[in-house]
Amino acid sequence: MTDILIERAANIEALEAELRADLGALVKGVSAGPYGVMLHLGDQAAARDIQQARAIAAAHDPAVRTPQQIAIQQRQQRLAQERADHADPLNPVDYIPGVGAPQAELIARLAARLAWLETEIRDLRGL
Amino acid sequence: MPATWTPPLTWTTDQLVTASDLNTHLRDNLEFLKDPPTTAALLNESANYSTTSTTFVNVDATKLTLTLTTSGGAVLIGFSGMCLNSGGTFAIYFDVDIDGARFAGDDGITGSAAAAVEHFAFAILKTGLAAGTHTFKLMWRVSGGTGIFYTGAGTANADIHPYFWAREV
Repeated sequence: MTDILIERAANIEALEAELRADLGALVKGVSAGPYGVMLHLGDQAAARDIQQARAIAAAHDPAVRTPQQIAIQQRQQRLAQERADHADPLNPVDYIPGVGAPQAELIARLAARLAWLETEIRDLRGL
Repeated sequence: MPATWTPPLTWTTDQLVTASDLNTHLRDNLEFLKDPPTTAALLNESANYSTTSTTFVNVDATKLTLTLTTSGGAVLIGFSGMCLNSGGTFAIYFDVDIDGARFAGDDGITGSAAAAVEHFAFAILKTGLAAGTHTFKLMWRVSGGTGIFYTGAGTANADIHPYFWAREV
């Protein structure tokens, strides 16, 4: 393993994607901590590979997110909105057919709650 | 200065026992057993650690690398901390590098999918170490996603201080 210490902030997922786009399987990952940012390259990394990795890290913009990070953020925003939309506990009395709203509307409301619960479960499972 | 271990004498009949013998073979050895070589790191950092590496790498080559000078006994090594994989279904694995070789190999000593903040802990006994100075490095990797290792950096509900230690036994 060839470790390269970079003393700057980074979005490590985005930086890894940028490194992989250029250096391919030579890139083993990126780590960060109080010490800074560490680029992990394979043992076979040549001097020019290390130089290229340093150049990519220097040009890296930590504010730019990966498509996956954007998707995760959008999912969290949708989930937060759905939680707000369903803040009131479900009251079974509201769903008795023929008492209140038309049956089609009741089914639609139940389906919306079910879809929200499915989203919550998928989020808990990290899917 | 901590006492050092001296292989105890085998006493013989009519042997003259000097103060030096008693100090070396009884006092010093008892003091060594009472307070054996020990080293530990309790972290309280300003930022958490993170990694995307799918190959084992040091968590922190400085703060989580322990050095211990032993007298040839086994070494008990322990770790406790909290981690999360922000990628959801991916796992985090831990191992210890001892003098340049990983203790367990393969996927390490412990590992788990950590879609939520999860506790990781282990205690291992390393035998067969010669007397001398040894290094113990905490290592980790992920199967995908980004592993987050909490360091007491003030993260809400995860302001956890990891502890990594080694002691000759």
